[in-house]
Amino acid sequence: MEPWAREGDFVLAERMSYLFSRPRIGHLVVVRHPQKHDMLLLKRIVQEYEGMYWIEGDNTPKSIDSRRFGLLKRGLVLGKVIHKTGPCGRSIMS
Amino acid sequence: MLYKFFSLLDRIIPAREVFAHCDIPCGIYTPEPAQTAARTVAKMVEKLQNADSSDAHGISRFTAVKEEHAQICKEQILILWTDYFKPEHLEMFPNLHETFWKAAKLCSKAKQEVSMDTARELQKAVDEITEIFQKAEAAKKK
Repeated sequence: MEPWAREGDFVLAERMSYLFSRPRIGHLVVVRHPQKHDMLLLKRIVQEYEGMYWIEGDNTPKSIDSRRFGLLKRGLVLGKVIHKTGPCGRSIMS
Repeated sequence: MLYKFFSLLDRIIPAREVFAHCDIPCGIYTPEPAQTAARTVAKMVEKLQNADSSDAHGISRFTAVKEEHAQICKEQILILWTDYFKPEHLEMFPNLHETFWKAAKLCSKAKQEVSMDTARELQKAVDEITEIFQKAEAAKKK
């Protein structure tokens, strides 16, 4: 997800929004890896297709995302990223 | 300031780690996405063949989904071919390259045509790959 997030940054995600509305294209989200359930991924929703989500990393050449594992079910989208902070004051609100 | 706060909080209540990208391959391989994509291609061909010729919107949607999933199928096949299978598998499966090459070509053919024969051929080719994959996995466990 570079340059938006770098290794060691803190990312704050919340689940409440998606209780009342659905994830939308452009949202930065924390998702569960569909084949490795204990692994969480930080990605962006690029496409929505009949309740399924196509997610990609911003740093596409290095990203393992929907190009590898396909569309994600709604249940695997855990939360919306609302804030990121890194050393040297690199804080960004989503 | 906020970073220091999160760092302190992380020491007290450790945060879950999220991965933005994988620098190392995750090592998880499965033929399932290719199978699903091949099934979707066949379903879209069926819908296209039964579509009302005046339903331009429906026809364009089914065509777009067929194209997309034929491409997904091809990408998933290529991942298995180039990342999962190793030179030593050629001893076990002498037709490995031929099988994958044929399946990848069928993905392109499925994009070009609206043919149930091609869609079924693609499903059969993906099933052959699945069988090879399952045999390779079984051999790994021995």
